[in-house]
Amino acid sequence: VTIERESGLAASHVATTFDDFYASTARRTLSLAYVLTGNWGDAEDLVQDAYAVAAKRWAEIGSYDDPSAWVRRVVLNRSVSRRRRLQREALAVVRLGNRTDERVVDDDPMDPVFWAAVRRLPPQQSRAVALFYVNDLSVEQIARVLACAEGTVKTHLSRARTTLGRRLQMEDES
Amino acid sequence: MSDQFALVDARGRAAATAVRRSVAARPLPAAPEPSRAGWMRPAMVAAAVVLLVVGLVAVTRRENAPTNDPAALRFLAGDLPAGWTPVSTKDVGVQHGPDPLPGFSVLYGAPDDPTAPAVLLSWVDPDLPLDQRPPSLGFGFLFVATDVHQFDVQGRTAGCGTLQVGSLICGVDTVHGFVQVRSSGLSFGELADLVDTIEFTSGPRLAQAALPHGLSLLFAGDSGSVEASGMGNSDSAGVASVIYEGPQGQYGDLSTGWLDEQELAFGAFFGTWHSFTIDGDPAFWTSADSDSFVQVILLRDRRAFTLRLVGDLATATAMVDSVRRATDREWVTIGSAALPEESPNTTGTAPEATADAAPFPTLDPAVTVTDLRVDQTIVENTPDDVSLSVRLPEGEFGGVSVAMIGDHYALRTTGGPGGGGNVDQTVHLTPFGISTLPGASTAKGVVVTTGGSGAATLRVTGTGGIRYLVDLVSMPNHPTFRFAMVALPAGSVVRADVIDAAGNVLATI
Repeated sequence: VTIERESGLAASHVATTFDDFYASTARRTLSLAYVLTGNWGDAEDLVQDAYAVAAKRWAEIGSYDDPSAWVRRVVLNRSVSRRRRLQREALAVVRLGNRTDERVVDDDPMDPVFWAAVRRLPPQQSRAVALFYVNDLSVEQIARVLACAEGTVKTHLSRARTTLGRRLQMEDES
Repeated sequence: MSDQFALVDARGRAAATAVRRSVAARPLPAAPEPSRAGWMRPAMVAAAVVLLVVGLVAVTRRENAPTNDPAALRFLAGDLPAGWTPVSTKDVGVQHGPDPLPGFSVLYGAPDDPTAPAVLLSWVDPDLPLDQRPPSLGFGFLFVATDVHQFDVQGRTAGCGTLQVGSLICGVDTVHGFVQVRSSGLSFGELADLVDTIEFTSGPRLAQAALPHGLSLLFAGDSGSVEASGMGNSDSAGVASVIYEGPQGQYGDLSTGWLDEQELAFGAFFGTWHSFTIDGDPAFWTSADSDSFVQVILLRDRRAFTLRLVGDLATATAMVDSVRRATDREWVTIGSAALPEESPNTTGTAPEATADAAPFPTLDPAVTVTDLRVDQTIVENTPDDVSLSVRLPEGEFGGVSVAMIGDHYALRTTGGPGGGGNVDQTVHLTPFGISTLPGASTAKGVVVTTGGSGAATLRVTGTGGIRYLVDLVSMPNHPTFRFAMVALPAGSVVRADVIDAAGNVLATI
């Protein structure tokens, strides 16, 4: 059995067991989920849910050229849905007088300030940035995951960097 | 611009490297299993809290809609505070946010009056096929409620808690599935009595004879309908909406819906409302006590305008009073601003991954390790809801509270000198669960929970060489559930172990 390496999108895929697939790709997917959610609990849950669906449909998904791309896309989509839910929930909680602002730790090497800024980007920009930095994907590979043109990915990354640069500078100044 | 990109890239790559290091050091969760039974999972919590706090009450009175023309609900605030700007628009009929959940809701209250008492039942049909069934509502409210009490309803496990003054939430695991009950303006006793009368006739209902004066059945149906009420939900398909952003990134949104389709009684769950008038038109306002967040509803011209704003009441009132029709050009221009097109400027070169490293600081070999046994301070809010903290010689660095109903529990951070932040919702497995509490600005908490009897002590080693030992204690009303916590200043936790009475290490982070 050849196990897919955790190095971005696989150039080719050799059929393997689901457990092998999970063991060899889950950490990278978890990294992606973490930066998109901002906490390990939700990240692990996203990953668990994505892989649970993959397990259920492994006969089909395991035959894909790159099952890890499918899992990534599930995580990306669900993270955006989750973020919207949380935004609405946060508004409601504010109304309840129990603000649950995302708090960050300044000296954390994982730089939660940076990822919090990433999560505030428009969804496609946020996804592109996460795939670019965390999963080390090229523009071509990101375009495949996001099912869009490479030019669109470049636009997303360019826009995202511009916004991040401005926001992070404001954060640093404040 | 390229310098700015380089700075962002450098920061992003460094942060990504740190994330990968941290992931590499984390134990990989077990491969997922199809079953969702057992301890409450965060997905269920998220879904339950969403339904709990936001709610999705379907409104099926479309036959009364004056017109189906989306342009008839495109309104903007005519007067904006300095620095505020509209950033996106959404037409009625367009649903943003998550896919609708096929739940079932029953609303009792006073028609078109958010100031009156109200009760909302939420239920998920357990007979739905697995692939169509949303996560059970369960006891997700444990994460947000205080003063949780467990009790029995007709031999079934039930529990209630307080969301805010005057706003309660209960859950009961009936033979027909879990029913979540929220109330506004009722006492704990009144709500508990109502919970005891739940009956099933094509979904849960309260016994008519038990309804307090002034409450009547307003709605019963699919809570996941795209015809959801716009009350408290600018993403709903039932309203057109505009999102505003202030000069410091403050949030605001204006939702516009047909009055006939807005379930205003549902607003009772979103705060304590006050009625007033704006230029002679009926209006309501509410505000979070400790925050500058304010919400104003204006009923004008057969429409309900709902403004939610980080600001003061006077500003919000002026904004909502200034609503005016948007031109098609205005509406489209604002809406398209969210996805600008610009020439790309990136090479797309993927950075190199770096070697993994431990996420915690290591202990200086020259430091002598010393054990120090400390005690937890436990405050019993109720027999099902306790707060705990540990005072170390260096000080107290935060605490947690534990709420439990049946075999479901939730950990909540309770602040303290260095505490606060969000609870790590890592699944807490039996017999051992151990996790850190992130988000605190100056402290790192370590919590262990267990339903087994083997674990005896939580041992947390700090960079100063002291190993703090805290014995696990039992939940008053749930003696088989035991827990312990230690919080240290951020960056000073070297490792944490769960050990048994003989000193054997059972789990480590």
